[in-house]
Amino acid sequence: MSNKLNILSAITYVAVCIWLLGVNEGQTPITVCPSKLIYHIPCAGCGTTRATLLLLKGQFFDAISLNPNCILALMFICLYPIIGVYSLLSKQSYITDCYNFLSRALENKYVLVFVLICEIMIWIHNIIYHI
Amino acid sequence: MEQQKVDMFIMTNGANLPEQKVPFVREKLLSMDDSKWGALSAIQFKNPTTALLLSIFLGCYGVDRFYIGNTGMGVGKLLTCGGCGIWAIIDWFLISDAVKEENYKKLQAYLV
Repeated sequence: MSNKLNILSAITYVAVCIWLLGVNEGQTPITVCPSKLIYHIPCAGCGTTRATLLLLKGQFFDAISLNPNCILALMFICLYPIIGVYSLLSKQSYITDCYNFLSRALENKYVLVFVLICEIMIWIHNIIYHI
Repeated sequence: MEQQKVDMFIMTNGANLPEQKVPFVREKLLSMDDSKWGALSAIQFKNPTTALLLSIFLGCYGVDRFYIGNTGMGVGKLLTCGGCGIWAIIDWFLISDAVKEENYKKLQAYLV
């Protein structure tokens, strides 16, 4: 499971970087959200790419007002290579430890309810403002 | 445990468990005593068909993973809208086995 997780997370990281570079270069918004395409309703993650690009350009308040999930995206972009390289050098799977830590945290009902309430609020915001 | 009770349990719940684990479960149940029958019959298993339908229609919101108790993956799917649809499609093929594994994990607590 550890190897599978490491490989999947690495592929996800590369895909996220290519996606951000591609959207930034392209300058045109591409709709990949299945919720928007099928149900014509934006999801809680809609606007995260645009917000992350704004955050990387230093426009913090614009980014947060578009979609606060950009903070999670930026944490993933910045922390994953550090944890990955440290795992490779120390020959221990800290990626798996992080994954298990996050899974256990989300099993706590208070944490889960808090996260879900935040995401639902972002979702409602996205629907109202047609993000 | 009586063979009749074990056969009834397997008939009722066999489809909710991984196929390759059903003979092992049957053996374990036969070696258990009848006092655990009440607790065993009260176990609520998740339905693989329900999970598949949730995955097909609401998979991009992570509802299928929330249904089977994988809250971490559910939140991940919700945040990424089913990994831009890719994860949602992959889960159409993985969710049935995932449900059966979760059901088996639930049952294992009683088999020990």
